Amino acid sequence: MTGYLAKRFLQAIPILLGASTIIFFLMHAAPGDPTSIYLANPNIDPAVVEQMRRNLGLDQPVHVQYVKWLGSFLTGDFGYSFSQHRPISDILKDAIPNTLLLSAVALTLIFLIGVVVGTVQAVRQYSWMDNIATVASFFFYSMPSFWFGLMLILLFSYKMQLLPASQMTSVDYEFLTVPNQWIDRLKHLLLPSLALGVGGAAAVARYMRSGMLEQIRQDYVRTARAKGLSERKVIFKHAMRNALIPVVTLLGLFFPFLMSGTVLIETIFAWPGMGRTIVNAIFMRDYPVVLASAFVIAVMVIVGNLIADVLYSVIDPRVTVEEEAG
Amino acid sequence: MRRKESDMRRTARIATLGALALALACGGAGEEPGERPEAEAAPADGGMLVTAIGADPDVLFPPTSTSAQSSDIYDQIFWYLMRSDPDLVHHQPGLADSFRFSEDSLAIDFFINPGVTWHDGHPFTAEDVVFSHDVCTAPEINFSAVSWLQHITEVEAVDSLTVRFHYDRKYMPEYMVTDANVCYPIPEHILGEMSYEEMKNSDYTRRPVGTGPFRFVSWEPGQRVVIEAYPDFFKDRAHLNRVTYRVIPEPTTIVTEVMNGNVDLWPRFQSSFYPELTESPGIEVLSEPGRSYTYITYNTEDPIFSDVRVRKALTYGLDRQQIVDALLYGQAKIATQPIISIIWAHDPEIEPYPYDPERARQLLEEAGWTDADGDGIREKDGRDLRFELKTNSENQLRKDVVQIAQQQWKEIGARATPNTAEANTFFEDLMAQEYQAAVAGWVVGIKPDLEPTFKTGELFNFPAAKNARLDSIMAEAVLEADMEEATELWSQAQRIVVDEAYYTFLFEQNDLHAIHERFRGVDMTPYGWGHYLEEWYVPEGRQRYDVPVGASPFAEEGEDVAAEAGGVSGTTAGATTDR
Amino acid sequence: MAPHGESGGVETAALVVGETAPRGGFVPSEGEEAQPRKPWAVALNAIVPGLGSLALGRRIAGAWLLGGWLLSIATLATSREEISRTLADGGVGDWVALVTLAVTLVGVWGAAVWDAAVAATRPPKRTGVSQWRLAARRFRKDRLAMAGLAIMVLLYWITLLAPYIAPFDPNFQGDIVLNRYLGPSLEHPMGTDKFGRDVFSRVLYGARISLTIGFLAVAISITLGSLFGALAGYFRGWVDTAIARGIDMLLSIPRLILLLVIIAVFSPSIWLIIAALGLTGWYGSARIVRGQFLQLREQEFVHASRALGYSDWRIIARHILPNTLAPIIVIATLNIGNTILLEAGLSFLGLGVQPPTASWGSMVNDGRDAMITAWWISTFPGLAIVLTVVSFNLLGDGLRDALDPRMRSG
Repeated sequence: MTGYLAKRFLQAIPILLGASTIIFFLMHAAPGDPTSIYLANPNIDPAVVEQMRRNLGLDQPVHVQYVKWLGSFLTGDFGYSFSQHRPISDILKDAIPNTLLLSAVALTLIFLIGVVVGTVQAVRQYSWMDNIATVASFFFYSMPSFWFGLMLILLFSYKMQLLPASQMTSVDYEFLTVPNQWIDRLKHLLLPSLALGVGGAAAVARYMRSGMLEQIRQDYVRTARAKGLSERKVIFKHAMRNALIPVVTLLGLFFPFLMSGTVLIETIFAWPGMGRTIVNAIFMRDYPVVLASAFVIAVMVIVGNLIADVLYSVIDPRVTVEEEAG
Repeated sequence: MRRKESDMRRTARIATLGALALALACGGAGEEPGERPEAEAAPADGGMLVTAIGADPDVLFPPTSTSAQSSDIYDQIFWYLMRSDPDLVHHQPGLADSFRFSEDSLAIDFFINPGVTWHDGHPFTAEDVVFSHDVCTAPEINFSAVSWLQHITEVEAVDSLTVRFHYDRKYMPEYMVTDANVCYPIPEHILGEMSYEEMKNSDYTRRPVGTGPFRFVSWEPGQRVVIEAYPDFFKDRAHLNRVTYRVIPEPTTIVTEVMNGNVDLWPRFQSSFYPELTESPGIEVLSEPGRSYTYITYNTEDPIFSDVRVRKALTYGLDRQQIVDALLYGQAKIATQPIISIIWAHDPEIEPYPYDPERARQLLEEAGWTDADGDGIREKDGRDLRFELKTNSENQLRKDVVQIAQQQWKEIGARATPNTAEANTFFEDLMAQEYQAAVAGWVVGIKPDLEPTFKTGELFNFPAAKNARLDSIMAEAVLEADMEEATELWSQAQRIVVDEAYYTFLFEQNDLHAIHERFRGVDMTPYGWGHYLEEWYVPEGRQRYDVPVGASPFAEEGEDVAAEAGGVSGTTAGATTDR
Repeated sequence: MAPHGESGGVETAALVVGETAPRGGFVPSEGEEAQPRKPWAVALNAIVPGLGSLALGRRIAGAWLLGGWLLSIATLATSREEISRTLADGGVGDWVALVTLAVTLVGVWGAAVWDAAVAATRPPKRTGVSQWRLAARRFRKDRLAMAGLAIMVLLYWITLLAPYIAPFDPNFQGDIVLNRYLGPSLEHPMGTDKFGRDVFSRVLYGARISLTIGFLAVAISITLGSLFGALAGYFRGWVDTAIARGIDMLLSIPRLILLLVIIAVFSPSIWLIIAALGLTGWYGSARIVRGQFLQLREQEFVHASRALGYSDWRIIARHILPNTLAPIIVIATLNIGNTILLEAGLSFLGLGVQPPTASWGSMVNDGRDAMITAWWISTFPGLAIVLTVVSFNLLGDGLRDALDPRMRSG
């Protein structure tokens, strides 16, 4: 297992390098640079801006900048943010946990809702519940997540005034008692994670339904039934376990999907995570932050895939990681 | 300007301003007097104001900060020696109680109030002011308003509470004082040992120690910045215990939070939210004359727009009142000239071009643009009257203006093709005259100055104006020390700009602020909504949050706190492109 | 999604229903009787297309014909003004609409007559049918997929006919202050926006932009995907490795983020958006095509072609690629929906199509600032997006089930 993990990590290195190189050259193809913002200010002497460009190394040819960037990057120095005036490692330190929290909760919701709905659908195939869930899952799967997020805000925050519409905690969070702080955090998590996860939940429900239907038709389920096991036991202990296997492989696929989602959802719900960091940095032309964030997100995606592979091998005894690794 | 200014301030202004004050009063879009009974309650300490900002501040270090969100916050943490009067010309006591010009008028002494302390308890001295001036003028810092300091030759500490500014020439005395108050005093005892590079990147830039009525508490990036009343402020302490700035990028989310009561103040909100916020119970909408105007600029180097008749025709052909009514709900006035109405040099006698499509058509005919083939588009020498109307994609209001202009110009036989670009690209195109017509805006400085935007060869001379007479009048006006003479000169310059129709002046937009009605003492000025934040209060019993003022966060670590530097002090800086 | 009612397994009566034009060599099996032609049905179909087919029990064909005919007639009846305008001095859009309408009418009538006169007389077939025909049969029984197809056809039809169907010029403003923010009414079925423009008309025109973006972007990505997939699968070795690693790199950057970088870096124009969506959407199809190639290149007909000395390119393009068409069609259909969603997301961040061009995504975005007071402005385009994407997903799922039962998603 360790050998396999080491191998996977080694494979990840060129991928990460390539991905950040792609972003690097894309960003540098842009007209304008971080200092154009100052150029548009009549109070700033263009000579001052020129000096800034020199300070930032922006006057050098792209390939020189690239080599420099790569060098410091490899030594673990992410550099300094033009727009936030602080080390990028600090920015990442603030944003990564928030995004991980949001994604983890969303992922939990995706699997919880998806597996429950899909199982119910399969068990009650062609019932009205199944039909409604089928239509609903198509509907949610096809909905723009930002639109759904806005609708959630309108409904639960604006109309019903039940849940907060933004950020991770209330303004008086530090003055709340500890249990209330937990409740406060949960309340703030609910809407964004729902908005982020609903499309994925719909997809999981669809996979789960078909997986369960397939399993229910299998011989071993018939055998189990014939042995006189209760229907509940047959469904939950035997069929469901096997149906879950393909669903778990989806876990890895959901990571890039969730990361894309955070870009929109974090903006709507004012969630201070990676998605918003990268969007702001793109608009501010803060190359180093874009690069570092893209790198971190790529790492998350790759690690997500790895976790999914490992989980897959844990759940399904027929698969061993070594044979997958080739 | 609203009515709740203290009497002292009002008297001072009326005494010194005369006719100007009248102009100001007219500019103010008003609220009914007596809407809030003054007698309701005496100012009470306590409570919290929660306000929304659209983006994280960059740094809270005035010399290097360039963002408007930052200045909203550090304007409370730092104070100037003399504070700007809402008329944007005169001054009120700040950290200094008074000032005195030297005999030759080439130096000013400021007399610092002996009670002023930094938030970590250190006394504030004249040496700090000298230090701050050195920081602001250091090239490494790139202080964006550094040009305002060009006539100050030296700053000297006469004694610990008297600081003297030396000038290389005389100009308008009010502006000599203004220029001495462009650079916020920063603490030498914290930053003095650092190199400028260290200062720019130091922890201090995100944890400032100032002298203002509020002190810094915390900053969770992307979430909120918290400041609280400084209990040992040398004047009356701020009434509010706390002010929390919540970072919420999405306007729909902000409006929901405002209506939910999770945000008390939404400053400078987009006018499209005006109807729903004015109709919301418990929320008051304040409409204050702002510091910006929006215009359409024409590239005079373009074959179509080199003819002044075409530029005028497009101005006549645009119903600016409809734009104001439709997009701004009347919360703006039609702009007539580059110096906006809250600046003293504004010439109220310049009338806007009327909306007159007939006259527009006539002018186009005269200029040789006729619709011979009857397709609804005029042409001349085989070329259609078609042009690109650019704007920047981030600004919804401007994109809306473009759409209205496009429709209205159809009526006079001109076809504008909208084209939006991202802000950086957009401004680069304007500066390089790589455009035909564009909708843009200026946030104007507190001093009248047209040279950067209309002088031959200037970078921001978007229309590529080349008018020798205009150039010489402007050069004279900038240096004129006498206000009346200067007013006359600026008026002449502006009439040229208006006659040449380099711009179609669209509107001066009011700043719109939505605030929960429990707040009292709210007095917003064109200088910034929080200019008198220390006087805001919530009557006892109506305070929503029970937040105490904590122990000083700087008591122990004061020595460790470090600093950074370079930027636009958002409140005083001159014209910035409004995005 | 499972084609409903398929569990039965016996395919008899259903086979007769609604046969479309046969392609390729169909040889009637022995022992099957041709149905006699029913002149009354032909006549009925000639008067009201579809009625005759319905009377013959050809429900699906009948419904399509009748629906198409009713829509065309209704459009024709309400477009007298527009037609005379087109004939006087119409733009390209007007003429396209007129031609579309004419073609639809003629086509519906022709197809109706053909259906009653020829198709209905064909004997039922049980054997000797091609893989495509089998798929078509399976597909026709999938009600959800058929609904998806119907919506999709309708949508594309609307995009062509927008100038005739839309009650107003989508950019007409009039007196803004009087006409703006009107709620849904008979005159404005979806209300008006902040400029007093008719939201219904704008949604109709917006379909053009959104569907064009979806269609063109997917065309690009499918082309690229097939190309790279074919190269990787056919040549294997280092080509395969290089392409696979490239895909891994690109896949590790979430697509929306890559799109944001591309579009923010250059100014957002509709062509850039299409190109960017196309350039970032090909990895999935490349992988599938590669898989197919890996299988097919070992098949005998490929060996035979090689033995005949055909060039690699010819073998790829003429022999293998056509056999991978089924999965390509499926993934293309599913991708169109996804692309429309992405474009909407870009619009939300202000990087979508710029005014005055309006896609559904940018319309949702424009309506955002009035979401509370005038919900209709962003709700209707939002629903249009959902409806369209649902229909593409239904269609894609149906096609997958029909074309390749092994890929069934249930």
